[in-house]
Amino acid sequence: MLTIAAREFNALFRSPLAWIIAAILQIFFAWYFLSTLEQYILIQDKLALQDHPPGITAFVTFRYLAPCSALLLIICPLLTMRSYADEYRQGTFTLLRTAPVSNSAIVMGKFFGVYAFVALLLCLALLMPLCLVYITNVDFATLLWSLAGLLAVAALCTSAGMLFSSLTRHTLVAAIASSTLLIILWVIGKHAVSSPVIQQALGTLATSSHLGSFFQGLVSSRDIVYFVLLTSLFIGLTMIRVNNLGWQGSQGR
Amino acid sequence: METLLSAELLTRWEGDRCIAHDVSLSLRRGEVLGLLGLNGAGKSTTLNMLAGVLTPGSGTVTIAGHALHGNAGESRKARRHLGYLPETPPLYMDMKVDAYLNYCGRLQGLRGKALKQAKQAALEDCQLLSMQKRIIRNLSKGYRQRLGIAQALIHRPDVILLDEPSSGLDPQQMIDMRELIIRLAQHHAIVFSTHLLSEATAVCSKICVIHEGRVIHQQELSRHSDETITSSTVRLSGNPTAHELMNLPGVINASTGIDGCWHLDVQAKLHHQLLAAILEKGWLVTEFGPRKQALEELFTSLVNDGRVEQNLERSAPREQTFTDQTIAAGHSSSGCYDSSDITSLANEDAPTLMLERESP
Repeated sequence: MLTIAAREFNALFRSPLAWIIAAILQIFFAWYFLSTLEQYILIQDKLALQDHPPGITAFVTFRYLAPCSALLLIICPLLTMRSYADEYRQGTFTLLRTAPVSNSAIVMGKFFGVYAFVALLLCLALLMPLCLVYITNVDFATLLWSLAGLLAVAALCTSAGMLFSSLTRHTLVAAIASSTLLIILWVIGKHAVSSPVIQQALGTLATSSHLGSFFQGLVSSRDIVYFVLLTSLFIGLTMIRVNNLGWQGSQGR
Repeated sequence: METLLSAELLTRWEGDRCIAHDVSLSLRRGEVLGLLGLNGAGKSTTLNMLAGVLTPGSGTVTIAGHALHGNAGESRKARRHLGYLPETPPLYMDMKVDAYLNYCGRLQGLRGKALKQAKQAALEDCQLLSMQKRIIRNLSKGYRQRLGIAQALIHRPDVILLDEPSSGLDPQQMIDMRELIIRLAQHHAIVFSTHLLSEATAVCSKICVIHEGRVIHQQELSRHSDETITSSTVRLSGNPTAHELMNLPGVINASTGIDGCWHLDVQAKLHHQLLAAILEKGWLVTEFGPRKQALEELFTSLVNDGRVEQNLERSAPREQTFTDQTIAAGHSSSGCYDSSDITSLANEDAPTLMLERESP
């Protein structure tokens, strides 16, 4: 499994797409972080008048890290789209299928390979707030738990991207399909529905509704379970797909 | 010798089309099996099923005593003894040759020193030493093909499956490839598919002809020249008759071949006497040598037989007359098919095809 994960991880460093994504992401992080700081300085006077004014950490996590998590809905599918689809197309998946490795090792290896890369990108996002250490007190616990939240969303997005990549030979189809699913999951609870039961059910299903606790520094088992369950579901479906590949004629459509 | 690979009654359907029908094979250590067939005959499908890439609808594949399509553990054990080169070599274009072979070795469970040695041996066997640091994308087709083969044998598996290993190779590389296969065959069991009949004759100990997803012929080939009867091609001036030739020393059978030559079945070690007798008769000899095309003729006649049978099935109402014609054609004086009777064969070069089936 480690061999497969290492290859997947290294392959991303050899691909121009991954470097471009990393670069754009970095520009975005820097710009967004600076504008968040700017905002904080502007409204600092007004905040000081409140009974419990939010500290710089809370302000930064909500205004800076939370929007970053939404970016993962597009970035993860772009990074995972080649994982299976490209291997089907190049015929290299045969190498994995004929090697004495289990299908679960293939699926988990590929997942962790890409996930490690996404985690690395997210750590870069965290470096920006960390530079505040020099000028003010930073709440490390909140910041790290926010990173955990981002990693949870990343796991969900990566596993969904993997599933769609394993379903098709076309990388772009995989990316678009998984992005669409993730965006729908993200916004599903935000629209008013006449029945309160359905509204509540959709709200529970929505990814965005489970992130708040992470950014507030709260440990909510309900939200953790949500991410673990959905990620496992997508990984499980990918395993079923890979198990059944032998039945299909041309390895994916 | 132990049986390393055995496939029983492999069948696979895709939609309502049967692309492999009751394919059975078995192979012992030291044997080389050549899969022959036209394009789309089902060679690659069969190899894919033998390699575990495709799951057969029914039937079993056993490699070194483990069921390939059985439970996950058994299947993994079976794959430990398997090396496979698919039709398109499974190469990661962005990797270097060296790194790629390291990856393949690790997938096969090789580590450390064992991996280094295995990689070195594979690079030497496939003459890739000078290419180690090159990126695969920049390799020529021949080198890519060789790297594909290196990948299949890096862990020295008992069973090696090669799907058209010589495609894209130049003539010298083809000869090297044959030598490599013959060398590997001493300790492994090898199955390979090919269009090149000369290649099959050169390296195979067994051939298996597949047509329309069915095995229509299996035969052991002898690579040694110690047979009691050998078939020779002779070209003579002076128009001798078959009867005259049959009376020459050592000749057991004489038949006409392509463009006026004769195919003679001659008893071993009597060739020089035969040649002397021919020269004594005053006939001028322009060609005298072993009959190289025996396999080609066998193959073409088998495949054409398959087509005739299909046509029979399709034109069921005329079955009786058609069959009669076919039989008449089969028994024509020279023992050749006469294509003029069979419209479907009109475009083939069937008139001069000899029938050389095992059962008359």
